[in-house]
Amino acid sequence: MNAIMGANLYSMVRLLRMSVILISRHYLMAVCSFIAILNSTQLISQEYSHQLSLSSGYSQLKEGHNYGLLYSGGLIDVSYSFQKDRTLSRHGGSAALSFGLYDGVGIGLMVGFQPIEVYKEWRLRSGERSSSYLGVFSAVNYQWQLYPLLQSGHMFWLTHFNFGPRYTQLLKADKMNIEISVKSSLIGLVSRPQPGVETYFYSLRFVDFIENAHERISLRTATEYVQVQFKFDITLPYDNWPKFGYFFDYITYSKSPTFRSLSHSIGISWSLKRKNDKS
Amino acid sequence: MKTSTNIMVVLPFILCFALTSCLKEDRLNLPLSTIEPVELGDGLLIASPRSQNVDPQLLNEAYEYALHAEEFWPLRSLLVFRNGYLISEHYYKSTSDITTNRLIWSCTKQVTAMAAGICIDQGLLTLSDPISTIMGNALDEHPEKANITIRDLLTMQSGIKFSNDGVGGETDQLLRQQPKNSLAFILNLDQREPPGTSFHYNDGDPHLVSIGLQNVVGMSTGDWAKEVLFDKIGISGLDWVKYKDGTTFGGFGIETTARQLSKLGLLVANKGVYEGEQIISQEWIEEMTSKQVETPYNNEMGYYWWINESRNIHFMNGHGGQYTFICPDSDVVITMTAFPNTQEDYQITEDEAFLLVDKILTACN
Repeated sequence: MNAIMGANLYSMVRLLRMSVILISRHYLMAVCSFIAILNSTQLISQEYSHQLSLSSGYSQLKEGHNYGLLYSGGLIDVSYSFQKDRTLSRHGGSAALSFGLYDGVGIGLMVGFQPIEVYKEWRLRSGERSSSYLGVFSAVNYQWQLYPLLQSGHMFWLTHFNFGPRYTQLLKADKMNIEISVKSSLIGLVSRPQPGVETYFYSLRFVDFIENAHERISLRTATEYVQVQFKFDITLPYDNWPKFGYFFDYITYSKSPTFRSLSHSIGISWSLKRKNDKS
Repeated sequence: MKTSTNIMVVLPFILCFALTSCLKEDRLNLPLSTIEPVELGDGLLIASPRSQNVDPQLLNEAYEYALHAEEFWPLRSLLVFRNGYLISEHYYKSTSDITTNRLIWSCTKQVTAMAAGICIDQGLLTLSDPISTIMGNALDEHPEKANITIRDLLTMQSGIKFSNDGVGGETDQLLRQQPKNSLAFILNLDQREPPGTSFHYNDGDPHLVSIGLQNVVGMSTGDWAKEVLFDKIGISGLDWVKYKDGTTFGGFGIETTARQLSKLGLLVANKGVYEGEQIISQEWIEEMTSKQVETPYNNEMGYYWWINESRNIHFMNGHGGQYTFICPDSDVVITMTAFPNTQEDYQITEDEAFLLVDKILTACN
């Protein structure tokens, strides 16, 4: 029985792996399909607000394979988000792409990709000048790093699919709107390179970026993996002005090979409106 | 109102905390508390520096120099032997390096040459053998390479256009296990010059040596070397990576500890003798560590073994800063290992390593 269950599980894992490979090889098709789906659903209806954000900031990486050395540098992040507000709740999501350039023992390069994050919050308190929400979020995050002068030929990654609570506080000060949100993962499915493997040389073909990032995914609790994010946005009382914000992101993974990152970013968010949107 | 007031009171503290938080770099090196060797029961003989006529203070200063000198930041281990005794050792990054296998990169080539010597000692191979006699039918489509000899390979004079460099170079492709068959991959490369006419440092020639050894001994070079070399001199737990076609990498791929690496150096220093048994013939040791080919570098080459003629030192050399120096004039063997994947100025170069060797030899003289 165990052999049969094991065989079925193995087949499922292989199927999932093949699916990932197929998706990666037809990535452009998948992206186009996703955009088409977005266009064809009520996600682009007037009930949802949509934003495009651009941020940059200071970031630090501490990859466990790098002998305790710290890489510090700059980060650029582009993201798209959408949100729907209801009477007692709200929900939304986002997708983001980030690039980092670091200095340490030679340069470090980082590419981050968050294909989707979704959240749902319920209103705790509502008033004329403030309201608060509490809910949950879940996100899919990929991050690849290269250190060509310290770890020539090696690629490192952190893949984390996480889930946790999220709190948002909205404030109105004069005509200015302030939004503060804090979220922290409780659990995550995490993939990291194998510890102590110096030998090789992960291939740098596109399909290997996908395959490697899904190697040995394991469930981690908050004692082993945490991502904490804090966001502070201000909307000024001028028509068509963008939102300005500060974003803090901290990740720690304590199993070997360990990983820590921290970033401070400031950014701008623009509201996206359809041509026939009269609001 | 109350909630918003509370938030505005707490918010500056949250922002202050967030804005001032940053990650800290770990300390790179362990403090240098002692250089006294550890007894591990691994067969290495241990003695004090003074008992081997080595000035302990000068020796300690050499270790201090390596701790503080900028060029030695990636140094992992430094071991000194005199008269066959381990008189000092220190692990600069982690004590786990005492027993953890690490990449030694091209020090593997020197081991391949030692294995080739044993094969020649046993009469299975000669230096003048053309590879066509030991590669089966593989050379039928490559007549221009048929007359490459074992000696040509051991002196990196095959003339095959094999590049160690860059993304997409031949070494890169082998490291990533991309070609289906490593022998066919190398033989399909262009012939740069006629065999035996010109030296080019490359990872292809040692790999062909490994394939040749494999064909004459009937098993992979790594497995055979374990029987005829590693087991005989008390080396255990060494890993030697194979290519996906089953061939042991001839140019790189050994992962071992600094102590185990040193045993290979001690064997060479002792003219191929280990505990009274001649493991490799003295003739081969002498030929392997004597200049066999002119190189464009500061050091010359025997059969893969590097030779610093001005110092009368021959040595093993691996990427990043992996070295074992044999200093016959002082009966000293020095092993140092370092982070293996650094590039350009971040490696420990030969010239930098020799600065440290000179300091250690001063303590010994």
